[in-house]
Amino acid sequence: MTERSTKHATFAIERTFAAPPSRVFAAYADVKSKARWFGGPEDWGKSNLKLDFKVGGRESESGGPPGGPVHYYNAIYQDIVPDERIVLTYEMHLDKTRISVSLGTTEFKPAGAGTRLVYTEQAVFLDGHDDAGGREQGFGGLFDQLARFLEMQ
Amino acid sequence: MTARSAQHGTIRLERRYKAAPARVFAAWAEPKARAKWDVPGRWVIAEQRFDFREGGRELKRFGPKDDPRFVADTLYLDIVPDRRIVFSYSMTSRGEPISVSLTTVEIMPDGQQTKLLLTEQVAFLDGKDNAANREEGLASMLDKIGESLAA
Repeated sequence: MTERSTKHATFAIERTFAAPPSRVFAAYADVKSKARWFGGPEDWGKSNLKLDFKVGGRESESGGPPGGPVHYYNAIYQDIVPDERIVLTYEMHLDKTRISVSLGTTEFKPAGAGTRLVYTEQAVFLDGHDDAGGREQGFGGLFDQLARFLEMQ
Repeated sequence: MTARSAQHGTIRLERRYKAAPARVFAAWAEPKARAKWDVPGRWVIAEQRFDFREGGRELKRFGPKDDPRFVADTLYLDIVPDRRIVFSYSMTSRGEPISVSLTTVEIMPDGQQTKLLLTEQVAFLDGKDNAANREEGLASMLDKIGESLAA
């Protein structure tokens, strides 16, 4: 029998982008834009992001390092306020094992001509797959990719 | 225009029940058993749809008897029979967001009894609710589970 355990964790990341809230929000709402920055490192291959951006809509992506486990991301949108807020829940699988379930809140606030983004993740890591530090670091990498995407537009 | 905000919190509650883990799990899994306790205090459930399985979605309209204005939209994310239930739910009132929660229910044997741990990670939206109020509601429901198991 699998040993069952849970570990609850919360982290928040704050970033400021030069683009206004409407542009940062659009980088989340539009599937072609989001596929440009929301994915693993380059050696994980091309994004296969699917996105149905509406309350109750689903999002999925999968990928992983060559020869390594496949990471599956499945999300459902819980609350959307255009240009201001996105709340979703998502689960992560490593191959066939569900390793975590999370509640993610992204807030977009005007900051001068730019945007202050606050991402808060409340997660439960399952059955010993405890990786809150790795998760936070992963999102840090995603926001670096988002910053580069916004600069190139 | 609504001033937008998000307040994050974590609520933890623990109960011991004089019943086997399988019966405590069934209080969540079986519609007839859940209908006995799935609303705080003296509030009423006006409509409820059950779909207890991973990926299943449930809608519940509830609230004070003369105005059951709240809707909980639940999605089951992880179910380990007799052991664990993880689900998300959003709460709205006439379409206005109140909160989104990620709730973990853990059920474990404790001598002749069963221990239940509930952890609710929640984002309260636009100042419409708070952790103290939510904790009171959840505590009321967990107490009702105890009453339904004793009956």
